[in-house]
Amino acid sequence: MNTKDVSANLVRLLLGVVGAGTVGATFEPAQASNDIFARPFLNKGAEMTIPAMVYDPALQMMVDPVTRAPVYEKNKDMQLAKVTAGCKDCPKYDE
Amino acid sequence: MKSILLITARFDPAADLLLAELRRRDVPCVRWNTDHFPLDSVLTYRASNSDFGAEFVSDGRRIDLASIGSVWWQWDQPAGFPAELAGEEKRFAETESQLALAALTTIGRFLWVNNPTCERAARSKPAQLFVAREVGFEIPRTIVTNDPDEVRQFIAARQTQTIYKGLSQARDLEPGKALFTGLLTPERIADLDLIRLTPGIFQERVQKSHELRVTVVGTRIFSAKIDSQAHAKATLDWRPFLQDLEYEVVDLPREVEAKILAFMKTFGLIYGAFDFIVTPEGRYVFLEVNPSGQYMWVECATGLEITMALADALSEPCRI
Repeated sequence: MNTKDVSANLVRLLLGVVGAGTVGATFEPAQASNDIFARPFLNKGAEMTIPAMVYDPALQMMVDPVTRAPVYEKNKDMQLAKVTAGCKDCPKYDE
Repeated sequence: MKSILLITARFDPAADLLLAELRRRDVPCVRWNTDHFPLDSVLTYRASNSDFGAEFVSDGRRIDLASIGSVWWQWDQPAGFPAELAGEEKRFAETESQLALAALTTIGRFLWVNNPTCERAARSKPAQLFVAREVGFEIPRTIVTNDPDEVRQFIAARQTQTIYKGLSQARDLEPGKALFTGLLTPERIADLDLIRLTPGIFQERVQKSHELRVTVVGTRIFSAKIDSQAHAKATLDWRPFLQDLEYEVVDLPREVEAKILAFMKTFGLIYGAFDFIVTPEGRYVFLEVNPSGQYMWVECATGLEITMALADALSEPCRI
């Protein structure tokens, strides 16, 4: 994986942490507006902290950037598992 | 033995988990991150009077789609474009890429979990309520409308509080925020004219004993009780407070399970994550299904073996 790929992944992971932005989307500050009924009902999703990771094309998984060990190989850690809760750019989400 | 294809994005922890399980079973499997398509992967169809072939190249692997038996589908929004591509050119590239990917649902004779066409239909919340009612579920009294007067009449006609939900989670409206279930307070009712622009879901507030997250894979049903009413902030919508709640594996009444399977069959879904309210009287009230609903957190919290069930379904479709 080249440097550009790593950088892109870190950005996406950061967006995943705060539940903001879409993959590939331009990231701009919100425009305050009262024209949308839904706006007062917006809330932050579940907050989470996730470890540093990079995509390994050989394993086709996210790995620890130092040890190269897969991060999500076993689902034992709730801190890691809940990353998909409220993560905006995770494929699996609840509408 | 045919391979299992995971069509997803690079950052998809559930896909990592599933891939690891399939590899433990020595089941041939491959991942295609279409969030990086078309820049980092290649898709080719070859058509002639005598033959039709399709292949993709991703992560250095060249895969003939004829070698694929089942697909775990999570993502089909191509987003692999150079930063300098913008405006009309980017929109054209997105449309072309999307249409190239969309052909897979016709061409691929796979078992889809879920079929993208079925999944899109099932994402519609009014459609969910229609089918839920048809299969016999109790549903909350609901209106979906952009008529403010209709909502005012709905509120005036009932003794219960009214809640508001979006038809989507509005994940692009404000960075870092999503749309959750909210109570219609007098202040919000005063703004109702705004719904002329954005239809919304208005629903009677149903009293809860607790809630259920029911994850379905084929005919296997995994039910978890969510003690949402024990946490003051989670009484209306538990989703933002996942880490603060208690979960417990529970069994469902057979008639509820039968209705769930009938619902899944109507939409053609193999996978779905249902939300129910259980009332203080013990009634099961259908809220919604998330056809791409997350499951890692509930698997982790309860030990329910949902990843194993997905691996079973994809590797042995005849068992579904």
